Amino acid sequence: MRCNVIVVVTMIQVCAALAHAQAPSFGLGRTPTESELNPPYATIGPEGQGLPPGSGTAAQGAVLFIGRGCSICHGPTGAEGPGPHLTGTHTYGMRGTGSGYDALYEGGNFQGRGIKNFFSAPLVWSFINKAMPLQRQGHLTMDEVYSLTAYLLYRNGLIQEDDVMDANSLPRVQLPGRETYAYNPQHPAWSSWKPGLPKKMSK
Amino acid sequence: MKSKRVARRQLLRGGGAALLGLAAGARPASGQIWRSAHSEDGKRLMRYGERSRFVKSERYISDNKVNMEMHGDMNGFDALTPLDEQMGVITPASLHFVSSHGNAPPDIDPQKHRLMIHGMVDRPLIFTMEELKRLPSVTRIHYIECRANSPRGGEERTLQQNHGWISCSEWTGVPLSLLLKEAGVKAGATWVLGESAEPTKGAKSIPLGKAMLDTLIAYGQNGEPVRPHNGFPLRLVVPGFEGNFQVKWLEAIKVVDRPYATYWEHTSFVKGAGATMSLGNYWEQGPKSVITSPAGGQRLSGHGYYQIVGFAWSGNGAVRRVEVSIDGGRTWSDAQIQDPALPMALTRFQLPWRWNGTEAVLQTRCTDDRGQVQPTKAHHTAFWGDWGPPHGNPIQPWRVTRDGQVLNAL
Repeated sequence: MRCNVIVVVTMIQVCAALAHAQAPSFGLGRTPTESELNPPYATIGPEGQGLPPGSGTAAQGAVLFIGRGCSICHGPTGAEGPGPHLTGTHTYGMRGTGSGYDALYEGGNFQGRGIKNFFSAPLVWSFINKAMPLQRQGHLTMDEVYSLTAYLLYRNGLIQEDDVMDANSLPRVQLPGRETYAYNPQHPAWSSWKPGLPKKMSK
Repeated sequence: MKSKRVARRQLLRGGGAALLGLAAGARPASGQIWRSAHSEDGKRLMRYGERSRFVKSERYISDNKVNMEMHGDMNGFDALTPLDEQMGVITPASLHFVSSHGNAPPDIDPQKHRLMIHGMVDRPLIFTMEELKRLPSVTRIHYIECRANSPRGGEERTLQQNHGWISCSEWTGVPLSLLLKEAGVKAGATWVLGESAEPTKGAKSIPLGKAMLDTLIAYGQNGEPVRPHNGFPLRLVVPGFEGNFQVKWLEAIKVVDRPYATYWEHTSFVKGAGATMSLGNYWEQGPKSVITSPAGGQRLSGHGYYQIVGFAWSGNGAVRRVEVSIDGGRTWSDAQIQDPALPMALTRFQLPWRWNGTEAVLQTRCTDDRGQVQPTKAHHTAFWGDWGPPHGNPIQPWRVTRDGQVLNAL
């Protein structure tokens, strides 16, 4: 009896493995190189999956923010624009446009582009690394991205000026933005989507 | 009988004369000289056609105010489809709506472009465009609608302003499921991440179930390569899902075990910030319809016969029924649904109407083949709350005034 159970369980495991690991049938495409699989601009996971070695502090980042030209778009301290506002209480880049949205977002109830509204600190790192400076990606070293991330977190009151940010410390920084996002990979609607699931979902 | 045959012969003769006239540079009805088909300019037009200079349909480029609302800075760009000038269910690629956070469409050489399948797979793979085109392909007609395509109030708002973030194309490409099977998805994987080559490097998390069901990696749009603003040379088509899932300028698919909540996903594409009810992601778009004629921004030329025409669609499947009301929703009549009525595609409907010059409020209600019914604005707000509905699919009323002006009555 026990033997049968083991056989059945083994068969289920074999079937599951086959379903996932089918042999290639067309033979097209090639295997990526290590550097292609791990490019400098790789997308980083929300809990810091894939963060590379390196480190930096807010003090170092403050110098880079001017020196690397971030301030040209975001203002001397990241709060002045004309690009997206990264620091300050109102972290959305549209104040003064007369759009009528200012009042709505003033209460901080908006998922704006500001650092506080990011889901997690590694995603701040990832965005700077992948997309900044706009149209000139690849000009920052890993240490510089850590330093600039630290600077923006510090300017938003989320870490201390001399806290060292690296692959271990960055995922541990708590961001208020996480609370506004119903993130639940274990929820059936998230882990196994199928057509016709309920449109609304509580946290 | 005889007179009919004569009429046909006259018509044929007339048509022949017109053809000869074109070739010889004769004078068409408008009184202008057409360029000779044998001139250099004429040959250029025959190599790659141009529309008549009398046709003026254009996308409407959003102003900076809308740009700020949509993208939070001046870098995004938007252009809205002139739905009222669309003749069938297919939107010309040159008029397909555009909405991008990405600063500018990247200028990609297809010879150099690669697609990488990586992450939780047994065999990471890199494909050239040529290799992708060697794989079995499918062609399907699907709409794509921006998540922000929500009609708003304001009498002067036109059809294009209220509904122009939707278009429908015939897409050709490789099923994503085929590529994922080639790479071999590992146990425990639940999501894929579509990664873009755009300047802001957008990426979007897509449930693995949807990726395996009907998601396409498209290189063809309406019989030609996907246009640059729509993702050349490669884009995702995720049928029925919000526009932001349909990653343009696609360069990688990463198989992962959780949604990655990337920059634009958590800053823009979530609903209900700070609310007690919160939604992380929004999948299939609900049933929706809009009258494109008579519609906001138009004026009726006089009393008498009109066709009420428009589009209906649903992210859940095909359109089963479209009802039209000419009295603001008190009574309804079934419109005729025109073929093709395909799943997750724009579907045309029409209903004859005789306007007697009195004020009328025209609106439509779509039911999809899942049985879901398009809500009124009040129902929509009650369901979602009043903060920025993720995909506004409320019934759109158009008010026809006694002088024939058509106004937004939402």
